[in-house]
Amino acid sequence: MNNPIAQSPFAHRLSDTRPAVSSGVNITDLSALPRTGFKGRGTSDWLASQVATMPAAPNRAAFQGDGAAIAWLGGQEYLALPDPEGNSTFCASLTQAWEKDRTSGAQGIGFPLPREDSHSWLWITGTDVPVMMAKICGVDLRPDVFAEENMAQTVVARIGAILLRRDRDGEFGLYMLSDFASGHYLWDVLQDAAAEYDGGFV
Amino acid sequence: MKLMACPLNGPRNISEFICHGEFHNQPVPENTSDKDWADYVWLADNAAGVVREWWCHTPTNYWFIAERNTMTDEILRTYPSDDLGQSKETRS
Repeated sequence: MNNPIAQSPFAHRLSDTRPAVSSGVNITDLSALPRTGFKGRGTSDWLASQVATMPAAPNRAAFQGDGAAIAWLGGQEYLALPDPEGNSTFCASLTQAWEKDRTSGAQGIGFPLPREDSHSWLWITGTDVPVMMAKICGVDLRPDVFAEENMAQTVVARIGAILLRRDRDGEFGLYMLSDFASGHYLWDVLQDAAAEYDGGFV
Repeated sequence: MKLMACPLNGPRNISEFICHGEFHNQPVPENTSDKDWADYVWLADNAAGVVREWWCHTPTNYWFIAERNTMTDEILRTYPSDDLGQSKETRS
């Protein structure tokens, strides 16, 4: 990306973390990783020409072979996320491809919608995540209801959030992207909600 | 929890939505009198009964149409604004 964020919105709190546990709730800050989006007329066709797998419906995601995700937010709007545990250049490659096509005069290919400065990105994992989230989110996130690759654009702890099911090492997991500027508030809310399950930021 | 069925996102807490008022077809500006334009912009029917309204799902900023009974606050139907098609209405 041209203008990566200087730091995570949680950076000033990261000294207040604890070691991960094998169950419960582990909250990992991914906000230092790239993330971007594409929107506008022609985006679906253009994006389909760039990636191996596209989501089947709005509020679904498609994971690529390298673990990166394309999430369909609705209409002609998509979110692109790399694999947090890989060394993906997924977002940079897409952005460069779009710039190349635009430079060559392509029309109707939508436009990039950078997300690094607008959305924080957390990975909330562990067996107790669905019950913890039930305290702060109205959407049913139980594993048998909210399957892998499912998405929900909803309100979590009174702020807008994008939730995407992404398990980690066989344990239930959610990507959560929400308002970057609300990071300080969100940290306290999530720490409080996770404390009941001996969880928290790791 | 009162639920509303968003055409894009499915059933959600009503607190995720904002009502943006009655739906009315926009008059054609070139063919509309100042009075009719002002009526469209400023006046509401406030009908008692089933009305069509603009609603927005705020986390996604998705706008859609809801049919709601203003006497019972029952939401009867929700659908994308594209489904309005060429439907016409008249205002009393």
